[in-house]
Amino acid sequence: MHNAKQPLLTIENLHVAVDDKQILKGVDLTIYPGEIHAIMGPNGSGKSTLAAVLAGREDYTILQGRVFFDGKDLLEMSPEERAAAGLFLAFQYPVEIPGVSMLTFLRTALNEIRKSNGEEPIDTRTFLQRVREAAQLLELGNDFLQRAVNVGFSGGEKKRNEILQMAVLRPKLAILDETDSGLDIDALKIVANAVNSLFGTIQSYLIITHYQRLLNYIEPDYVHVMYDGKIVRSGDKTLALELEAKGYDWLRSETLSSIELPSTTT
Amino acid sequence: MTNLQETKPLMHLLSATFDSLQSATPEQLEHNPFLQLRKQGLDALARTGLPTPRDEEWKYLNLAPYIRHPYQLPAGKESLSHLPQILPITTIPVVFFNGLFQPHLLSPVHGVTVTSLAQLLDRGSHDGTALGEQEHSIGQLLSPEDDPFVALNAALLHQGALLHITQNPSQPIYLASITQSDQPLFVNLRFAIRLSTGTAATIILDLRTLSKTAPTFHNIVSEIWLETESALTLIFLQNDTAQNYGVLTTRIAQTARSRSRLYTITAGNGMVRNTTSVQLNEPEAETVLYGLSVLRDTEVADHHTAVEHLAPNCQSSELYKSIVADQATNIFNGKIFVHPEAQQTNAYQSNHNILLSDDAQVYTKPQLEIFADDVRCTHGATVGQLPQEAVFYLRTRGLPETVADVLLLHAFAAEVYEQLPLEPLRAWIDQQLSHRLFDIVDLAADRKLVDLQFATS
Ligand SMILES: Nc1ncnc2c1ncn2[C@@H]1O[C@H](COP(=O)(O)OP(=O)(O)OP(=O)(O)O)[C@@H](O)[C@H]1O
Ligand SMILES: [Mg+2]
Repeated sequence: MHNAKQPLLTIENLHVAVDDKQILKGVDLTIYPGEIHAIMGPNGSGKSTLAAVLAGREDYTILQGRVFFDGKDLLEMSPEERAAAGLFLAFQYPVEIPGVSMLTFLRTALNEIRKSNGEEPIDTRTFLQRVREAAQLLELGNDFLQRAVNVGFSGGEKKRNEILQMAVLRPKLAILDETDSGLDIDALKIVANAVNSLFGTIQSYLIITHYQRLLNYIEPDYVHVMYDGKIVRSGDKTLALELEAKGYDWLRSETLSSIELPSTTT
Repeated sequence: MTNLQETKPLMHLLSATFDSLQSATPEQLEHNPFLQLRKQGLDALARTGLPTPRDEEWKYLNLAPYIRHPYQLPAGKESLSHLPQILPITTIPVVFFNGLFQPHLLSPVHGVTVTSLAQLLDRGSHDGTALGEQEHSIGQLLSPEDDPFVALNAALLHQGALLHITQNPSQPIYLASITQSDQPLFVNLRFAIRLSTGTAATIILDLRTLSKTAPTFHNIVSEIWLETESALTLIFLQNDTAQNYGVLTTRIAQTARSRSRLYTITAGNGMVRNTTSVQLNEPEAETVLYGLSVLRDTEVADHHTAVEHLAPNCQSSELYKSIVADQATNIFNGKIFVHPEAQQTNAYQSNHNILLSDDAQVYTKPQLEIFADDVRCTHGATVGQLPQEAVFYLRTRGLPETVADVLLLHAFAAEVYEQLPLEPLRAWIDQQLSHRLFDIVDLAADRKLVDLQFATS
């Protein structure tokens, strides 16, 4: 069905290590524009590592593999070039930036991205309008915009703030790393609603989550299971239901037979 | 005078002092307090000499490269026709040009009495009347025995000013030294400042040199008395050029419910030593000491502070921060003494430093001596690099690394001066520092401030 289109993201046989410890052991994934993908998988399986490598974190060693984003070699690009190209990561653990107000931060980010793309800086009115709309969408009061980035924000507010940034920056692909963790029921709906309403402007999502709950609101086209640094299964949204019902143990026995594991693992 | 051989740095400057003391009659020596102070200064210097890194209080600051120049004291009648526009505010200008007072720049102001020290001296007597009372006279707060640079200042005592604030001035007082010379200049200034009961004033102490080729060395000693319920904001501007060196010794004595608020902005002068002490002598006095160093090249900033809690219910807060690049050095030494009678003291001190290069150096030393038991006292010191987690976070939002660095450094620095009164001055300081930060992280000049807007909308 998407043969006519170019993929937005292509990950081929990606192997990644940190401090000599191999974490990703051959990830393959292709995301076309208009698709929503979900990645699930047990703690420590490498989901955040994949997200961080895609966003350009420098502490990782790429051992093997290639990644293309919108036709460009992603691994050759700096984090800011990736952002300018339209890649966005909502952090599992958003970072506090004392002394930098949300408005200064968002405006600087937006203008730097525009500048990289040969556009003029955004005018103040349009900017403020866009930011206020985003704040409304996430049901974050305008006073949030005066505060320092993430400083003193509650866990849930930090997560909503990630989506607010996404709404302002309007990337092509957004990777949401456990954005649902730590959100109360209402906040989950707010975030899901924001994600859904931005779908279209944002071409594709890659959603990392542990819970089927979020996927009730945001319906993925594909669900992948990451296990020990590999995507060991892919399916449609029913796979998430299956995981919710069975846990990961059944995968363990399946993958044990198909994956070579170090002898220390029993 | 064996210790004051002319071959030692700066000691050649003292010959005029010798002459004045030698030609004075015994009667003059006995009755002229200025001559006595000069003699005291000379004697103290002869005993101690100038400080070296062997002196505990000067351990990390090697003065040798700064004092070795063939400095000359001001000579003749140098005059500045008009005040150069340096700050974006109108002020009451108490200005010294090449070390000489420029009274013609100053029109009489209501509530502020400015007396030229040189004029008093040339009249040959000082009975303290200029500041109202004997106890407020020069040398009462800082004696030559306290510090070699106070001794040197006393030995060279001539230029300076006595400021008595009796009613709130409508504008900040601009206490400035401006120099322009092809020869190395030594500017020795003495200030005595008194705020009468209930008055409030802002004083900006600014050191500028327009010289391109020769250094200026400033030795400034200020004694400041704050009477009951008076409030002083004192702003030290040390954001000039690399040829500008200075040792500034300041002591503030506070009485009941008086408030002092000091801002020290060090970002450009080649070498600055601030020896700042505050005595909280009576109940409910408050002091706030804020300092920021943004240093590059081989610049050196040395901030020595001492807060003495001598009475109950006083409060002191200190925040010193530094950003140190290249081969620059920042030194912070913060002493807090809480005397036994100073119950219910609140004393806070923090010193935070960011190192931007392997060759940059930071020395930080809090020194707390607490002899009262009902005291709240906290202190903390950190030395670190730019937080890489934050830099990465900003980069994933599209900020180039350099812009992310500037944004974080600016936020770190701004905490020190964001409370500074006088909005146009604050904005000017902010702009100067931002430019410096852009330079330090080597960001192309054309992006400066145009793309990055720090001001909150
Ligand atoms: N900088 C690092 N140094 C050492 N080990 C690391 C580092 N970063 C990640 N790891 C390890 O890599 C493995 C994968 O971590 P990752 O954060 O990608 O897991 P995850 O799938 O996101 O887990 P979770 O569901 O708990 O968020 C873990 O064992 C983790 O300890
Ligand atoms: Mg994770």
